[in-house]
Amino acid sequence: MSLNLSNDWQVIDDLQTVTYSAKVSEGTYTNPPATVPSCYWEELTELDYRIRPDLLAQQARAVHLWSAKLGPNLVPKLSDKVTDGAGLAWYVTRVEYLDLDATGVQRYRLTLTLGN
Amino acid sequence: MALAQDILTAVASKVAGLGISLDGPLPVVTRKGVKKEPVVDQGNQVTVCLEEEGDQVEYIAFGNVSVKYPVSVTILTPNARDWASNLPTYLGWRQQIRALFQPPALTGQNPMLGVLGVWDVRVEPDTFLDRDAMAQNYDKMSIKLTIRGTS
Repeated sequence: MSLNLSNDWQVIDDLQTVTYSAKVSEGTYTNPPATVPSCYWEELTELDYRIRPDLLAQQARAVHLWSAKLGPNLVPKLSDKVTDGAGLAWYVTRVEYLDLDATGVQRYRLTLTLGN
Repeated sequence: MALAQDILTAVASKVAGLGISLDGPLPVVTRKGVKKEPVVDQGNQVTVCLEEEGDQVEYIAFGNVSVKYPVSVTILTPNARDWASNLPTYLGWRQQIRALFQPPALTGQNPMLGVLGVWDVRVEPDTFLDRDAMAQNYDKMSIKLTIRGTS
């Protein structure tokens, strides 16, 4: 039996539903945004700050989104917008592909900065 | 409209007129800066922008000024870990763009972009195949134009 990581979100506490808007062109985002349940917010790690020290000087967070919850047509990319449960808009500055199993990427970790 | 905006539009239009292509014609866009975002930007793209140092005023006399606009024309294409293909194409583009803005040899006159208020255009070839960008899988090259106007 091959490894299946697509449902790992089930073992994570404190998940949140967010909305996701993909950047289509300059100043234009998909509207209406997609609703993505079961997302996990995380503080940035030392590695994030080593890659981009300027993140220390601004509001930045990371969020984990599961492929199973994003749906087959949504692949996170640079400059997309994530709106959290409090209504704050965050912008994607880095995308990591995680949990690669036999059927592909099962989880994305996005590094986000708060919109001004 | 600002002279700088007219300059950017004219430079983009002239470069687009060259019709340079690689797997199809390259779009020429004017932007705040050079970038490559998936989906939003084409794989092969030419970006015209005002350099970060911005416009610089040179005082002449009697209240007259000359304003210097540093403009860059940057080509960004995928590298795909290929350090040989397209080299002749890139060198050709560079020469074409340089020739487009340098003074015709016989007359010694600058093309002036056709923009009212511009009185000098100088070509200064900039980075050729930025090695940092190549390490990130991009072929990136720039040609800088120093354009002087009256306002």
